[in-house]
Amino acid sequence: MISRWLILGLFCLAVAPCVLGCGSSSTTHDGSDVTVAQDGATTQADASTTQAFGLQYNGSLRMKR
Amino acid sequence: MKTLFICSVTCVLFGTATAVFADTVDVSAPILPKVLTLYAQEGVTLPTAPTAELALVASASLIFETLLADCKSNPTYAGAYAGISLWNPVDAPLTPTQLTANYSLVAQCSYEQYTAKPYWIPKLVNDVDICGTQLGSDWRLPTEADLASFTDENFATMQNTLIGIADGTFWGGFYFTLHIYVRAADGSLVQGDLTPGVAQRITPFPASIDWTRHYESDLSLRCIRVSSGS
Repeated sequence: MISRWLILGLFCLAVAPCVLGCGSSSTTHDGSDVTVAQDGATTQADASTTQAFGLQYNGSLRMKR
Repeated sequence: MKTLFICSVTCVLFGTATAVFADTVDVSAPILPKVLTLYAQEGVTLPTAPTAELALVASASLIFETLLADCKSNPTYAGAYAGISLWNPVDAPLTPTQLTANYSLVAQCSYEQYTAKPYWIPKLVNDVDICGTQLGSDWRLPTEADLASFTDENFATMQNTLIGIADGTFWGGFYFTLHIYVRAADGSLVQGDLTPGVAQRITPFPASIDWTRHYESDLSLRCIRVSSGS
């Protein structure tokens, strides 16, 4: 029984961040609600979107670490 | 069913915690100096009093948002940078294409109209909190610890965005560089490298440089702002 819970727990810990957090993310013009893709520059069809993701109106680059 | 429910709750809690506790990091556009202003006061004429150093920084610093508005609207430039898109909170968000165009045109304008190059005087960068005084108290010079904390994905993001938008533009070499001023762990000012995969993130300045004179390289003065959690 314990090993089954352990396996399930580890599975959840490994999968949860990708399910919940890696699909896309929002960036803003310091408060506005523009949403651009952050999940892989190589998968974006629009080259301009790919190149500019995370770029803010004030010229800064916003990202998570 | 019970097992599935507990597993789902665990997943949600863990995922939420991951999202909440991640730091948000802003890496600024370069603060460019008006080099003609700096050149006039370098070497033996460089001020030494903190207030005078600060005054020189204030008179020489070019901030991205200031440039954005001036380059677009200054009648002297006769619409040379009409491609700049200004924005205010009641407007629809700018598109990535517009943001990219803004970045490139500000770089071009800063050089053509202000003779801006990234050639700061290292002693000024070392002595004056240029980030805090010019961008706001929540901005600071990146540290060695900041560079150590960035993930491979962070470095790739910086390269893809900051260098990616420079593709094909003459201005990229001096404006979009990934080489930056950094505060090392021992408090010294050093050269930092944000390029993905490099073995050495920081390097001391060459012993031969004169810290009171402008340093000609592709070293940009970028600032960082870190917000804990989301």
